[in-house]
Formats: sequence, C-alpha cells, structure tokens
Amino acid sequence: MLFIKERYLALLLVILISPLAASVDEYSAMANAVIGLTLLSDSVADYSISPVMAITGLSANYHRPFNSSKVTVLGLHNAISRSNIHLAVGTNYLHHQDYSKHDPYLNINYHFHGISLGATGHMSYDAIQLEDAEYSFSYDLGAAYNRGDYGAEVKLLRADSDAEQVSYSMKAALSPDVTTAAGYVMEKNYKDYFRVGIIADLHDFVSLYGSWQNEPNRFGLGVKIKPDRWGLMYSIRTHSSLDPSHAISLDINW
Amino acid sequence: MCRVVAQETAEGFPLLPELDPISLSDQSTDSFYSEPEPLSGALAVSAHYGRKDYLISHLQFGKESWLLRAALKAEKGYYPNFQLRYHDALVLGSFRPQWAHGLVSGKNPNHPSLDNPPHPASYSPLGAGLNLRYKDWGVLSYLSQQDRAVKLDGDLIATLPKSKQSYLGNVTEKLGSFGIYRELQTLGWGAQLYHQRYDRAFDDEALDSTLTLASLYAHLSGSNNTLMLEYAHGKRGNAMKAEWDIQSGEFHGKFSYSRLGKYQIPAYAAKPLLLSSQDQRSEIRADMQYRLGSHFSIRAGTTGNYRRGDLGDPQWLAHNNLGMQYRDPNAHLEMILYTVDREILIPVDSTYVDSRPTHFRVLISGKYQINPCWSTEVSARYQHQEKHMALSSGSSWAQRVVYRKKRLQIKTGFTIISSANHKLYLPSDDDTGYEIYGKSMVESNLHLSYKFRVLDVSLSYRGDVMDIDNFRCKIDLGKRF
Repeated sequence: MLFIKERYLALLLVILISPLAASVDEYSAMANAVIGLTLLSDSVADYSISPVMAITGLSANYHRPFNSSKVTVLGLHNAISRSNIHLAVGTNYLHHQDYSKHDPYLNINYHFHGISLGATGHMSYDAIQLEDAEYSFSYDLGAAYNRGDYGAEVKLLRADSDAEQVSYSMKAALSPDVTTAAGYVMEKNYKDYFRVGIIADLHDFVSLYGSWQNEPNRFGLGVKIKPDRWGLMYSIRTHSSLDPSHAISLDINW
Repeated sequence: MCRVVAQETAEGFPLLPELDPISLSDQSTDSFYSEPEPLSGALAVSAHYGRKDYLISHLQFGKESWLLRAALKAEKGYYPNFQLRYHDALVLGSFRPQWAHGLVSGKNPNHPSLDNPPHPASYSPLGAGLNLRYKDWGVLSYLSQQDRAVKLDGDLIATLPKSKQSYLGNVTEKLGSFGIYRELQTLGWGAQLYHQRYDRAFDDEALDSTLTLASLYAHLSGSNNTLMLEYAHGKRGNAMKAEWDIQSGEFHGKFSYSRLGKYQIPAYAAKPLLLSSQDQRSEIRADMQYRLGSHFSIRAGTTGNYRRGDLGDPQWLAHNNLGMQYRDPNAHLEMILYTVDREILIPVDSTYVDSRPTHFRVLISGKYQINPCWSTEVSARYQHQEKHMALSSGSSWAQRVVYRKKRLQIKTGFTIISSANHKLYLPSDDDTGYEIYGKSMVESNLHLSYKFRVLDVSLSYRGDVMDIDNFRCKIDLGKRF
C-alpha cells in the first residue's frame, strides 16, 4: 500500500514539474544555474530554450528535478554551422516508471555581426505507461544582439501551447571576469517574474554562476570546469516549497 | 563484418522496414559477400548474447577460378548454407537467380545472374545453376530440389515461410528454369521458361502446387534514358512491369508501372509490388531527385497501388516521400517525411484496424566530423497514426559520438525510445536488419572495434539503462585474406 502511495506521489510530482519549473522546461546545468538567462549561456543544450544561441557543439545533460530519485531527465543536443547559418537538433527525455515525456526540437538561426534571428520547432510527446500517448507541436522565435560586453534578447517560447512565454533580457560585462544579466518573463498562465544572473570567471578553467528569480522565489548556483573546448558543469536550483533540483552537463564546443 | 543498417530504394530513400522486413536479413549477408575486390577470402563470426542468444558465421574462400561461400546460423537449431562457384558460370549449392525486374526470380535489371546465397536462415533454390556466356549471348539455367518446413492445414500447405523455422510439416519443392538472353550495348532481351512443383497442394485455391511460367524482358539504354519491360505469363494470368529511368543534368527520375493479373507469384520472385503482396493489383511509382548546387538535393516519390480484383482488398493504397539532404565533406543532414496508408502495415501489425487515414513518419539523420578523429551522429524518427479510439505514436532519438584513430574505433551513445502503445520498427545491427520496440526506454550503447594484424575484433553492448537485465552483447570476429 505504501509502495503504491509512493508511486502516485512521484507521478503527481512529475505532472507538476513543468509548471513548477516556470512552464518552459530548463533542464541543462547551465539553464538550472542561470534560471534560463540564455544570454549568459555557452551550452548547446540551451537551444531547447533559446532559438538564437548561435553556437556550435555537442551537449549531454542529466537533470534530477526536485531531487526526486524516481524521475530522470536526459538531454542530447547538437549544433553545427555553415557560413552564417546555425542548425541545431536535440531532445530532452523525462522518464518515470509510470510516465515519460520526450521533447525533440529542430532549430535554424542566422547570425551576422552579433545579430541573431532564429526559430525552433518543438514536438512534445508524453505518455502514461500502458495508456494513450499525447503529442503537441509548438515553436520558438527569437532575436538577439550579443557582441562584446553587451547583449539584448527577446524570445517567444512554446508559442501555441499552454507554456507560451515571452521574455526580454539584457546583458552587461562589469569587468573582464564578471558578467551580469537581467530579464523579465511573461507567461500565459502564470504570474510575470524577474530574474537576474551573474558569471564570475575565477580562473581560466573555472567559472561560478549565480542567479535569482521572484514568483516563485528561487536561487540558482553552478560551477563549470572548462579546461579546453569541453566543459563539465554542475548546478543546483532551489525552490520555496520543494527540494532543490540538480543538473550535470557535459559540453563540447567547436 | 560490415552491416547494412537501413534498406534503401534505388533512389536512395531508406525503405521503411515494415514494408519488406524479410529482405532486410539478406542485406547483411549481401554486404559480406559484396566487399570490394581484391577479395580472395573472408571469415566473419558474430555471437549474440542477451535478449536473443545466437551465433552467425559467414565464410568466403577463393582459389583461382573457384569460390566457396558458406554460412551458418545457430539458434534453436542449426541453419547452414553453402555455395561453390566456378567463375560466374557454374554454381552448386544455394544460390539466388536474378532475372530482369524479378517477376519470376530475384531482381537484377542489369543482366541475368546467379547471386550469392541468402542469409543462412532464409530459403533459396538449392541445387545447380549455369550461366554461360558467349559474346553477346547468354544462357541461364538451374535446377533445385529441397524439403521446406511449412505450416499445414490438414494435409494442405497453409503457409510457406521464407525463413527456416521448425514446423511440424514438410514439403518437397522442385524448381527448374531455362533462359536465353542477349546483351548488346544499347539493347538487351531475354526469354525464360520456369517451372515449380510441390508435393502437397495449397489450402488457398488460388495457388497451384504446379506452376509453369514463361517470361520475356527487353531493355533499351541510351545516354540519359533506360527503358525496361518484363512480361510473365502463367496458366491463370499474367504480370508485367515497365520502367523508365532518366538522368539529365541534375535531375534523376525513375517511373514504373506494374500490373498483376491472377498471377501466382513464384517462390523466390522479388516482391513485385511495393505496397501489396496480393495479386490482381496495379502499381505506379515515380521517384525524382534534383540537385541544388553541390551540397543540397531534394527528393520526392509517390507510389499508388490500385485494386483490380477481390473486393475484400483496399481499393487504393498510397505511399509518399519527401526528402531534403545536405552533404559536404564534414557534415551530412537529411530529413524525410513519409506518409503510408495504414493497410500496408496490416501484415506486420494486426492492431491496425481502421482503414483511413494515412499515418506519418518523419526521419531526421545527421553526421558531423568534428576533427579527423571525432565525429557525432544523430538519428531521430517520429511515427504518428490515429486508431479508432486513440492516438498511437512513437518516436526514437539515437545519438552517438564516434572516435576513430588508425585501427581503433569507439562508438558510444544513447537511444531514447518513446513508444507507449506503438510498435516501432527500427533499423538494427541484428542479423534480421531491424528490431521491434514496444515500450518506452533509454538504451545505452557502446561499440569497440580494433583491427589486429590477424583478426578484426569488435565488441558491442546495448542495454536498457532502467532495466539492467534487458541487454544485448555481441562479439564480431572477422578476417579478410
């Protein structure tokens, strides 16, 4: 009886994960650390939440939402470029014994002198085990300027879905080793919120990440070791009512 | 041993495994025997452990003008085959006769031939064959006799399986054929008389235990165009197939029309229609490819299959493809959209009960060479269809990182399967060429291979990360000499 109860509680948690994590799933270690402020991100995994990343490489990530041992999220992401055009494909896969969710996407973006314009198509597929599956399609649009010490970005994410979100962000480098960003997010079915983030390069190989958002009140922290074109990152993100979420990413950029 | 992981049509579209799963198993065998020359001999042994335990081995040994080919699959029983070949003129053992479009035997539009044996667990003619050529003229003839395992209904043949399995019943099959052909530079033609006989009758009244067919083919080749026609005539009815192949500049097109009357398809004929195994149907196909510059190409294809006989069969079946490909020395990206009429898949999945509408398949695959040693590969597939009561769909995502240096190759990655209530047929390095997935899972995989001086060795592992007992291991040993 206890076992069944535990399974249903875990399933309930899984179903609640998306709204609790600000509707748009932010699974990569980088997104977990900077609360979705992709102007600060150099992870290919964040193509899933930004159509204007304009970087190339490979990323694999593991995410444990709200420290639940019953739920596993895996992500696999790729991006290549040809002249000014970037192409990215990737997926996030959430697995629970009784529920699974799969979110493959395909992105194309054009980058020229720091200006990026991009679009992403998403297919979200979820299934309760042994029951019927559901799928839905949505798309992202974005425009960004990101060059040198400053950047700005506007994104429409998951248009045509319940998780639709519009966000505005700006970035500025306070010193050669410290970069900050701030943003405002408007969601279709939830309250608007602010978010801020910071990166501090402690060493050529080591960077620290921090962030905060209101509604709900959450903090993100991360550390990235990047000896070369590859990097390993761990991050944690708190929640006002639930256990913190953990994420690990392995990134290779080229 | 080199594996073919996806069957392709002549136009380059990967064929959906559901449309002709049996032929996929022969492709891995063909790839072993068709390695480029010089090749005097080769040996490959592949041992599988886990979900299915079996061993499969292939041998080819050549000396002067003689060539010996042998294969064995050991699973619940032992399934061997062999072939002894002198030049391409005399063949003893198992062989696969190929003649024109394959209305009577296998398909080889270039010239009649007696090809390598099939997968050891597949049936093929067993006996002796001759393919003698003198200048432009040729004679192809063969005789075969063997006992085949069958499913019986009383004393009658209910099913004649194409693969060797243990059934209670047996039937003796006798085949014979004599054909003459002439191959000139632009014109080729041939005529063949074929006979097959079983020592039991079929329970299906439309099938005769004794079948005699006469067939004619002709083809005309120009610099840009090839026209081909094959006609086969039997006691109950006939079949014909016409094909036009055009290559002009950056355009390549292939158009064909097939028509089957009350035609009993011979035991080892190629599948005459893509979308149906029934007779009394017509099929029209068009496949086109156009190159846009040096890197891009677009492809489109359509197949329509029309009923001419039994009212119980669906009247129209259709299959359409649309694809786009980018390729340069370091990158390859391909996207293909398929639509398939549901009835096509009934023979492989009886849960498809509705008659309309079509269902969709989307395939995305890509490769990128990061540097001379490292590369990455992605392959994704989404299948969608609607049943009476609910949506049925499935998807897969395979991601691999590959490291190659001199004799060493390492491949590792994940395959994510989302398939709650839908059977996914995915290409596989299994000897059957495909694998069926019916539940959601994450599969990790690792493949290590090293070419030693005396032997090529590779180890493969695939396992469900959520269920440690659900795994597959494979050891391949190969040598070419």
